[in-house]
Amino acid sequence: MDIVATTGIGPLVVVVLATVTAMLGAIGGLGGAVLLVPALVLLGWSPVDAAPLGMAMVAAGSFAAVPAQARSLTSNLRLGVVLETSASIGAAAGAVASALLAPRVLMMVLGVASIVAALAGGTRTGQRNLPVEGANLAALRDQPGTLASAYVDQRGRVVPYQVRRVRIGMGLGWLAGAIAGMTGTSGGYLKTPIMSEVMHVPVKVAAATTVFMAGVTAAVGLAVYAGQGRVTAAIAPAVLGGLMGGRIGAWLQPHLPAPIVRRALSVVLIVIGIIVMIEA
Amino acid sequence: MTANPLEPGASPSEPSRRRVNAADIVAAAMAVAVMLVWTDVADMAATVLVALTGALIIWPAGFLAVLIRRWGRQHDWRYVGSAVVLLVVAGLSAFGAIYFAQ
Repeated sequence: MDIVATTGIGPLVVVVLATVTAMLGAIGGLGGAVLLVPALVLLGWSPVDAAPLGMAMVAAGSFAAVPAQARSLTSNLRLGVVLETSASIGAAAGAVASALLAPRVLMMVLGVASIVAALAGGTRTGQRNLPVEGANLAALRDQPGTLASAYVDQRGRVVPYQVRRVRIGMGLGWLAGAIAGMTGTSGGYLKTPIMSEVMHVPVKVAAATTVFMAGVTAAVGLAVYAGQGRVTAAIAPAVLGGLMGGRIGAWLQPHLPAPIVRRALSVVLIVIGIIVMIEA
Repeated sequence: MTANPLEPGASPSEPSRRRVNAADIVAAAMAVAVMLVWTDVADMAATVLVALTGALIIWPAGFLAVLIRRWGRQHDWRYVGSAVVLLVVAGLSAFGAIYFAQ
């Protein structure tokens, strides 16, 4: 395959990297491309060639994780659709604005935003949304006309939650979309903390909802790459890894306690922030 | 028979009953095709890989269409509207980017 010819690394390495990043993405609510693309660049890929792989991995990871997370009742699809509406408009605006701003400034903003989001989630103690013994899950979740819902924690208890500050969340979602559009990422690592820390959505729900949103964003990005003729067999290992990692992550996430997911997400966000600032 | 996970009232015990989904089938097909391309057994497999990748582009549209149908049945018009707007914005973004790229 041309992967080996151009970079000297085999498809198996790409499969493994994509599996790990897609798994982290499904658990922590990140697209994952922000981890995979720098790793590929470090291994000898050019950023131009690595970008479609990152996008394909995110689309594949989301494709694998979303049905499983919808069945495990973790993702809030209404919230995802509402927030992604403003984020998509922001992403389109950001893509247009990207030509007007210095890439270095954008990357620094992205890095700082990522670290601030990590500190907001990582330094918070306790749990906002507590399980309610004997609560009726069917009556609490997916109520027409509201974003409030419920999910089941790792011990099988029902955890109801409200979605707060929807307008502020949509405004920040637009901003996250704009930053994502300007920097060519899915912006999942900003959307999850917005839902979790600003809108008070449980972190596991925020993460699963972001995975769905990242899939929509990545599919659009992949369509663009397909239109440019950049979707070739060379991206197949990333797709395969994304499918496997998304499935594993979606299986693991319901079994992990929410505070651990939140802290793990903070660590990954700090790593992302440092990577982005070094790139800048 | 497995209950539709998108229907209200689905219980968390249902996932264990359904072990295989579309993503697993695509993953299996991908794995076979990658092996064939990698080992230069079949050039046709490359075409299959690209076609399978196409599935990744269209699945969110299908998923949103299912949500629109479900929320329409519930007369949950605000969210039907959001999903339609999202489909239109995503489609326009992709079309616009491809158009300008060419």
